[in-house]
Amino acid sequence: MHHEGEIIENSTTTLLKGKLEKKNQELEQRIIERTQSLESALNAREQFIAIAFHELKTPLTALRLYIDGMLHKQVNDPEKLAHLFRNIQEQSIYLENLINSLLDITTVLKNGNLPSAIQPQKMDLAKLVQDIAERFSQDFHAANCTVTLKIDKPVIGWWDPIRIDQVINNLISNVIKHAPCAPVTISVVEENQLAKLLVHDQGPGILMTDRPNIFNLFFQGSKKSDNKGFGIGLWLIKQFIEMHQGTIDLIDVDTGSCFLVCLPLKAE
Amino acid sequence: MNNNNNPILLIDDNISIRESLVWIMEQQGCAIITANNGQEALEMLHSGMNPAIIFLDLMMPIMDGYLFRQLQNANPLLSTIPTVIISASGHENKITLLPNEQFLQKPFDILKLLEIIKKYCDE
Repeated sequence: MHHEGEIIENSTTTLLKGKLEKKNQELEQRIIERTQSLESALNAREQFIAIAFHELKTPLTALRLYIDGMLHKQVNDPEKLAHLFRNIQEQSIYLENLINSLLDITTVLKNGNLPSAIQPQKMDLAKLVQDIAERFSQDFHAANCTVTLKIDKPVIGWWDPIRIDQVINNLISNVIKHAPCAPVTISVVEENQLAKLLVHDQGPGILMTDRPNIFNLFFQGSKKSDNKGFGIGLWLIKQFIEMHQGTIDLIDVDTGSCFLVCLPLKAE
Repeated sequence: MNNNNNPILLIDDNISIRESLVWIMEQQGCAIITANNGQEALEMLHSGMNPAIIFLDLMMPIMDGYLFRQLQNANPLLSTIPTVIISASGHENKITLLPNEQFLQKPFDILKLLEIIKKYCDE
């Protein structure tokens, strides 16, 4: 037989036990979620390091082959020699740009964001796009991409030429990587105090399920045979564009992928 | 040395790697044909090309080196062609899918490359 006091004490204990168990379950769930999030961050970092190694080794391989080849067998033709040195120079510049991108990413991983300072100067976006398209002409040819440049006149504004170069470079590299054998149209126009750059390829396009995530850090497309990159390119250029108070969007099109970059002619 | 006059087939999507390897191989007096990806290479092989050796990159768009190797091995006419994987791949777990393969890890020693070329290419 129980006394009234004991019954109250027992029901209070049961109530407290229930609350404690619920709290425990909540805590366990939070630990599981936190562990999953840490594991996913760790995997992304490991993946990044693996891809970084791969990307760095490619220009390094070409450099080693040119230099070792010249040491192994003397090249007497001055024209051939000049061509080889130009290739070595190109690969060194590519390697330098790659290292700079890696430093940008390392800064992000360490501090959570990029240094926001840009160094704007008066420049012609149309001319820069033409120059970069020319720089990629051999790659376009190798990828069997037909390029149509729609540029009528200069588009002058105040932007950081290094960052904007990276933006254009990334969008064009993506076309070559993900839309080989497809036509691509690149246009630059000025409208309502905005410089608008449109890069539209007729390639396989981006999966609907991937679209919401393409500007996320370390996101890699889910297509199986895709040529994987760092998973940072689009994220990085979005940061650069936003530093100029601009926008980048993936536009809905019937075929392929279409990116629209809008930059104020002069950021406030 | 193998007295094989057939060309070398180089499959790599990277233009700088292709250009530098073509230069090295031509310096050795070898005929070399290049393909941008596995699919392009398979088309060449199916249309009758008979290379002395294949140098194969792994990470490529359209058709990567893993799938190319699977399809090559499944075809008795192609499976006997000596193939060397040239890779800078950081995807080590995927590399285990290709056991018993001849590998040249990028960046590779030119002497190792020349040794292989000499074995299969008539200078």
